[in-house]
Amino acid sequence: MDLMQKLAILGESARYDVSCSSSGISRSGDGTGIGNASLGGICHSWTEDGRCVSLLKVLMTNYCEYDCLYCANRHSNDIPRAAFTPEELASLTIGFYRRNYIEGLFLSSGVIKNADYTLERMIGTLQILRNDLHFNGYIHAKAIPGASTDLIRTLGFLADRVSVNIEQCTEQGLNMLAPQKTADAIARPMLDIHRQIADNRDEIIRYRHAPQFAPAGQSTQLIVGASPERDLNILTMTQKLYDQYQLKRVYYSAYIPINRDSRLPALTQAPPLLREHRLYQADWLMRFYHFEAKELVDRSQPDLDLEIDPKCSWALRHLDRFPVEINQADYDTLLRVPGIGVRSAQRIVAARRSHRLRPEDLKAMGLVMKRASWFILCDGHYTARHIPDAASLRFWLADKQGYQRQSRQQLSLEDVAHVHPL
Amino acid sequence: MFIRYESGFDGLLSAVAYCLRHKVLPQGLLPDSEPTLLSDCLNVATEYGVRRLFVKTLQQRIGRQQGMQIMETAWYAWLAELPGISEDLYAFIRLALQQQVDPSGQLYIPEIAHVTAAARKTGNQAHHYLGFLRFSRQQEFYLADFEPDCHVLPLIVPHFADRLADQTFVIRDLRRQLAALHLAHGPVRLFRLVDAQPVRDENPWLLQNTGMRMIRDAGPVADVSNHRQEPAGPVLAQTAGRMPGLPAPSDENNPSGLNEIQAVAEDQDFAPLWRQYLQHLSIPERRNLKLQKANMPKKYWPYLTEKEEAPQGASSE
Repeated sequence: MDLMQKLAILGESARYDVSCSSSGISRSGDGTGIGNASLGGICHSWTEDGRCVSLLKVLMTNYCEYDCLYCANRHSNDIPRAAFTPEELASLTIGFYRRNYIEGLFLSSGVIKNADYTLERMIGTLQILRNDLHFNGYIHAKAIPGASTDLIRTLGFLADRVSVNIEQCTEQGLNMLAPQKTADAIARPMLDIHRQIADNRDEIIRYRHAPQFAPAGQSTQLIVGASPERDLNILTMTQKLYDQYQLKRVYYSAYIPINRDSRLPALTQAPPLLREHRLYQADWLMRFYHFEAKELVDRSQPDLDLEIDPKCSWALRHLDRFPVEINQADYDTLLRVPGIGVRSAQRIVAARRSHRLRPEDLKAMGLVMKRASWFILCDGHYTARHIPDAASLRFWLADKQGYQRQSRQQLSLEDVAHVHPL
Repeated sequence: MFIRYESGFDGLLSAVAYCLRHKVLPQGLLPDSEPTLLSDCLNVATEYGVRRLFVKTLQQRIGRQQGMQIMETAWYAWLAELPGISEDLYAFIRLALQQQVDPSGQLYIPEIAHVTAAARKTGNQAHHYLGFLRFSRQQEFYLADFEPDCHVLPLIVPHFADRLADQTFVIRDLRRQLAALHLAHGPVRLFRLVDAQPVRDENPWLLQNTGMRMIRDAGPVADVSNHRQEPAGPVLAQTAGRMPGLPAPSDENNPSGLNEIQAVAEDQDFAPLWRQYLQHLSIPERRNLKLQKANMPKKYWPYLTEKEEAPQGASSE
């Protein structure tokens, strides 16, 4: 099997891992090797499904011992299997890097023999890249659930970001969909990585040039829509991961039906892309807008509203907190207004020091007046045309386009089932 | 009164300095390159060291970091090459010195909004090109072409000089007919494509502060011949080969002591591998061409390897 075929098989197998970022660390070239890392990350291309490509995202091999229900590479699927040798993968990475196709490598693997053996092969590749070829670019490595602490430690000193996929946020979900992966096998490597990163921070305080353990942090991925989990479970788990485990990112991957199984959604069901989008919006609110999961979803409303984005949805449920006076409200209150983002809020706070903002200034400051005007006062003036009631406000704020696109998609697939062939 | 300045960022700054010193409020600031029939024009000569002068003044009055930030915003806005930016830049710098603060946040003032928008445009384009520039391996060096709207070449070359330090590469801006040559573990030089003459930047001090090491080629340039400028298109070993310092084809260019693995890698043609990889990476159920085009506008497509048609008669099928 030549390199082109291997790349096709192993690139395709890795595509359901949605993590793509190359950000988090800033590292300049050291003069002896090749490569540097850019703090904000760089996107090199975009695929036809609109996702950014910044790393060479491949599996080391798509042979796998496990038989997870949702996975295309599961043991019982009859698909072409391939494996890279460490040298092949290293030379491919360097070749792409020299031509500025990629920022670095994203390496995952199916499980051969056991977790430790698989991880050793991955570590072999990373050692060639870092030690022999002096590669200073970005490496994101996936730790295999169940691997030993020592191997995870070695991996962390070679990679910039290490992640373990949680897949499901409840133990029942995990047992149903991935029976060979136990919750403990996933949680323990995550805890190991978290502790190592914390210890490493202490080491670096004491000795500035100590080797860094996973400097870009840890991330994970949850599958959305494969089991009957609610957004409440997902967002609560996300909050816990950010607060207690100090993860850098949690990714949500809409479930794409590949395998036929009675425990999984039907093959004809459209992937829940709008739900995934709302979850990402909620994730952003938790990370940058100081929201908590319990403000966005709770037991009475365990799912995010699909028709309307989470921030507007929260605002509609708390209309007593509005309108907000732009020239007086503090930063956190400004952040809560729909139509005011982080940058607009920062600009308002900075401009307020020297100037009293007037209604005509606001659009130039970057506020989205279509949404914000209903919720703010500027210099005592209410900026919208009239004071609306909750129902018509909901109509104004609804994301009609996104909702129609999703409903259209689902409708078309259901229609197919009802057509009678003549 | 209209002020005419010599085209270039230093020329503009000299005009601004003149206006500020003599407390003149100009009706317009016009570059030398445009002919004018206006009679009420004053020509201002370019001062030597005017950039350094402004940075020092701003840093003294406002603060070290903010002062530098203001000059960088002004420079980025200039690199956007938008018409009418001169008057806005004059207003921007004057406001900064009057208010003793970075005026970039006061977007309700139209001139400031224009300057900030132009600077953001340049910055965004530069960041896009960090990702969209594609090198192809010629015999003894790597070549990348692009046609940016803004003059982003001085902004992206330091990044690649740091990242690909052991690689000899040439980046060509085909819209402005400029090329940057980086020698392995060596300096970076800017050349004009039409006659392979080095570009003598009047005052490289600001460029140095943003990380670029430019060497003014003091001596006579060897092998300069009047070859025609190459139109945008595939290669030009001839053009680059005439740049002094670029290794001749017969040289074994092995500056970093490539080991066997890397020597094998250089022999393969990576463009088909990249196209193959991208083709298999997209998930058909999530197809969204509109999103792809929104993130990667079509104007960047001409020089992307993956958007080129595979060469005819290629063996990879």
